Amino acid sequence: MFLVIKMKTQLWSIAIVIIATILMSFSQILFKLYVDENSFTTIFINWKLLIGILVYIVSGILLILSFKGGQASTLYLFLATSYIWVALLASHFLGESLTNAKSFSIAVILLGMFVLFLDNFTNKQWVRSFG
Amino acid sequence: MVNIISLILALVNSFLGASGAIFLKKGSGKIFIKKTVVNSNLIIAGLLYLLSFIFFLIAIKFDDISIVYPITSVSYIWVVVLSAKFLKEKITTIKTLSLFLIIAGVCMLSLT
Repeated sequence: MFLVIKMKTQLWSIAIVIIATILMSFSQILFKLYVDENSFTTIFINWKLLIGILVYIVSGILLILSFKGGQASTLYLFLATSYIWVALLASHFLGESLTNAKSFSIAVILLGMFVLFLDNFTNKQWVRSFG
Repeated sequence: MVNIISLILALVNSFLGASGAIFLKKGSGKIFIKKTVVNSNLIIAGLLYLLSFIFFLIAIKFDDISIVYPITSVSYIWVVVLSAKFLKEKITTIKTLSLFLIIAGVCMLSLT
C-alpha cells in the first residue's frame, strides 16, 4: 500500500517558479549592493536599485504566470528555495560566509515551510493506492 | 550574532509584508464584484508592501543579506496568525509545528 500525491501542479509551472525565484534572489543581491553604496541621508537612485526592481517585477510576473499551471500552495513551497539561492549568490558575489551553522538554520526554516506545505493537503488530495 | 537593528527591521518588514498579504487577500475577493482593480484594501496592501520594502533595504544595510533575508521568513508566521485573527482560518497542529520550526531556524540563524 502506497501513498501517492496527485500531480495537480504541472512541471513547467514548477520550472517557472524556480527560474522566478533565482531571478528574485539576484534582485536581492543587487539591493544589497545598492544599500552598501547608500548612506540613506539623501534619496539615492542608481542602476543597481533600478535593475533590482526591474528583475523583481519580472520574477513577480513569472510567478503569476506559473500559478496558471498549478496550486499556489504547492508553488509557494518552491518559492522558499530563494533562501538557498540568496545564500549561494551572496557567498559568490558578496563574499559572505556560508557556514555550516547558517546552512543548518536555513535547512530548519525550509523544513518548517515544508511542514506548512503538508498542511495544504486535504484528504481528497492524498490517494491511497493498493497494489 | 545578527545585528539587532537588522533583526528588528527585518521583523517589522515581515509583519508589514504579512499585513499586506492579508489586505491583498481581502481586496482580491472584491475585484470582480466591483469590476475594478482599485479598492481600498488593494491600495493599503500596496502601501504596506512598499513600506515593507523600505524597511528591508535598511535592514540589509547593517548585516549580511544571507542572514537578514531568511529572517524575513517570519512573515509566514504573521500570515498564519493574522489570517486566523482576521480571515477566520484555522491554525492546525501541523501549522503550529511548522511555525515552531521556522522560529527555531530564525533563532539559530540570529545567533550564528
